[in-house]
Amino acid sequence: MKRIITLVALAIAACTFAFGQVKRNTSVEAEVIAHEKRAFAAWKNKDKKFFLDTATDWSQNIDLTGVRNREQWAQAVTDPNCTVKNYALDNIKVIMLSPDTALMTYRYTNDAVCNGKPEPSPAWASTVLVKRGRKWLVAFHQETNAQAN
Amino acid sequence: MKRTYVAILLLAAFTLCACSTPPAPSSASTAATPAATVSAATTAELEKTVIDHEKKMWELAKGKQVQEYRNALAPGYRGVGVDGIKDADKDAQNLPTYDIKEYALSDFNTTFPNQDTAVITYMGTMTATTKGVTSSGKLYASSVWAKQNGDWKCVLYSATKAEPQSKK
Repeated sequence: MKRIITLVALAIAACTFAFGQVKRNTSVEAEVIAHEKRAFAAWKNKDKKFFLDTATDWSQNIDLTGVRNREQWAQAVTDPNCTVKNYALDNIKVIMLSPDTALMTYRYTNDAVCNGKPEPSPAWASTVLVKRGRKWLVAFHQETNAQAN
Repeated sequence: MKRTYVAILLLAAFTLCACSTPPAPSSASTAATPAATVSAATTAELEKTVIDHEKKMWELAKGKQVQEYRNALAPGYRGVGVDGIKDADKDAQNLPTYDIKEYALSDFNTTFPNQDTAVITYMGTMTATTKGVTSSGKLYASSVWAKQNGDWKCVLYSATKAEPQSKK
């Protein structure tokens, strides 16, 4: 009887652990999404350091002005002539290309003004992130807006 | 009885180890670019391979070769453009509605987040007709390619029309 109880307990423990692994994948996606949302907060707060600290030094960033490296992008998204009032992300999808490489696509709307002109909204974005140590870093980001196409 | 408990404990330990093994990465390397782990020649070969794949996609799109185009897209593919985000089927189905008259691609830049994932960025100029309207212009495009079961498949395509104005 004791053996049966022990076996059942072990089976339950093993199953619980196995479910934990599935959860872990979900939590990786949550980490990646949280990272992107922090980037939007940094955009609103003009936190240039965030963009420098959370991108690879070989990252590529594209918008309607072209391809920019990490430093150029950090400078552009923290332009003092821009005011970001509100933004919202939706339709977020994450694909794990490997345990440490994630691809995310989403739509975002914003209420922002740069040099007196409203920023295009809505826009669609794609981001590739890589995990280095404990940190997720942006390797690639592109924005496409409806008005410009 | 002790032996039985030891056997059960070993079985449990094995089960836990098996469960806790993370999914096998698609690549043994986590290098930023293959240059860090493989020879320059191999890097150049990899770059050429993925750029050739990208160029082929444009030829397939121009030729409206829907099935071959669709076959090159990975499960979970996302196509990001003016009208939002499309999956592989919808993107391929759209090909016949788009007449690419001429195009030119340049300024390719390839990075490798890992050995089995490539990010290509480039510039394009094109003249195309859709729904009876002809337009031409410059675009900034990118694709993400992933090696799956030995074949490179397109996971993402994004295009942004170039405009001479500052953004953000």
